[in-house]
Amino acid sequence: MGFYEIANHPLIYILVICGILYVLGFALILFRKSWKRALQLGYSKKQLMDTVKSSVTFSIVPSIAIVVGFFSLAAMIGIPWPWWRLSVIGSVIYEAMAADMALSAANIQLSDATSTEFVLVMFVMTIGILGGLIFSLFIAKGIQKNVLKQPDQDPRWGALGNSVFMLTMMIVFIVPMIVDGGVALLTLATSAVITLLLGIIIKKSGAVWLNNFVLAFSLLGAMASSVLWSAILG
Amino acid sequence: MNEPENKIQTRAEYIDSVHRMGRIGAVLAIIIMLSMPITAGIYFDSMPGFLQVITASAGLLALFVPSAISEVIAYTPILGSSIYLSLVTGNVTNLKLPVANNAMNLLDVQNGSENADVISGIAISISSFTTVIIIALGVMLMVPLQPILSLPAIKISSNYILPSLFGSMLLGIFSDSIGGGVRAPGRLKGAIVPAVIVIILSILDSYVLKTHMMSSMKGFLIILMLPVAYIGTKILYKRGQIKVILTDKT
Repeated sequence: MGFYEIANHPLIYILVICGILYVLGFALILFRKSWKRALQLGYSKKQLMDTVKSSVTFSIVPSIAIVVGFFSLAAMIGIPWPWWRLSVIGSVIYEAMAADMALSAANIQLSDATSTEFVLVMFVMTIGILGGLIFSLFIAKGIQKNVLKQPDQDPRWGALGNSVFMLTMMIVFIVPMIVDGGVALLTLATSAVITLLLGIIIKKSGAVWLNNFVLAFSLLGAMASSVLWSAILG
Repeated sequence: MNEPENKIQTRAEYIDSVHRMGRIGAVLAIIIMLSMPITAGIYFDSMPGFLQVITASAGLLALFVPSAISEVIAYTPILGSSIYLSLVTGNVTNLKLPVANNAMNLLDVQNGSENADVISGIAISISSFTTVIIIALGVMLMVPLQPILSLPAIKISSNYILPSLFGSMLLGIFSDSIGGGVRAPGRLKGAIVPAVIVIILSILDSYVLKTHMMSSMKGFLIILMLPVAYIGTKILYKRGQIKVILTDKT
């Protein structure tokens, strides 16, 4: 059997569907546990439903971008395997790079690749990304316990100290976009302006429900603007 | 406050149980992931040699394992016990972190608290559902969708997801509010030194050395900048340069 006969074989579809059902089950269990605990902590069902709605609307656009990546990956390694890889663990950037590196490391020419070479690609793409997940098994709980302990010792410093993680992450992501300039900077600024305008609209009109969609609308507007900025800057 | 049906767990009991669940979920996910190439290899009688697999994986492992490890260290304080599902479902930077941050902001939750852990859990599980469903729809509707999603405009805009996301989150940086009703006027002073270091590194990377390696080094950079930001903030807090104002809510 050749590379693409296996790549689009019903067995791979069956394996992928089973895997995806497992991931959905995992997400469902975490959702139920978190929801139940949130109610115990005093959140109302309305507050939690607002969070759900906001998370769904926000996740749609980046997920469509993942589908765009799926099409380019499917052209390279068939349909079911990229479907699985992009539904779990990997980002589009990683998976495209991993598939490419796996093919070139094994010196595989897709035109005459064999079934063994497809299985090799499956192995390499899987093994390459497991490091973080395996590491988290040993270290994540310890990290979180330390973070949770801080406010118990000094509530003021605990609240401030824990906010530093998010702030640092934002600096590391945003500063290079500003320094690099160009389309990325203009898109970043557009997103900030849309968020600001929506904030003003919400304040003036009292349309609090709009709060749930601010990130989604800003994301959509800024992504659309990136096409315009790319056309202007070339 | 809702009346619980059973005995309410203490915070420590809840954290223990949610991590136990996360770890079991992650181990099973690893087993399922590895079982796919093994099953395919056996079924099609096409198993590659062990050495062949290791040789072909070496480059990828060298490139991704260190950054994957640093991401676990950098993102667990923000995502809490949801880190396991986040890593299993992927797209942490471009989806899971912003969605968790958005949910925490909506409910004005203090970072690093049990409330943050629980709200992140809801946001990340819902986001994972949404992504899985949309990709499945993309697969099923591949024929009619492909021409539309292959348009140059869609491809260009897909490359700018991160600035589109972080622009919206940018305004939160300038707010004194750090969630849970807590305000910290002057907190940005603690970010000056790490911001200056990142500016210098970015200029070196983009304009002097032109290596353009920053995007793949974000995890490392967060690990390097965290102690700088953390110690700087603590010193300024102790000197009274950063104030923290608690409210009744806290």
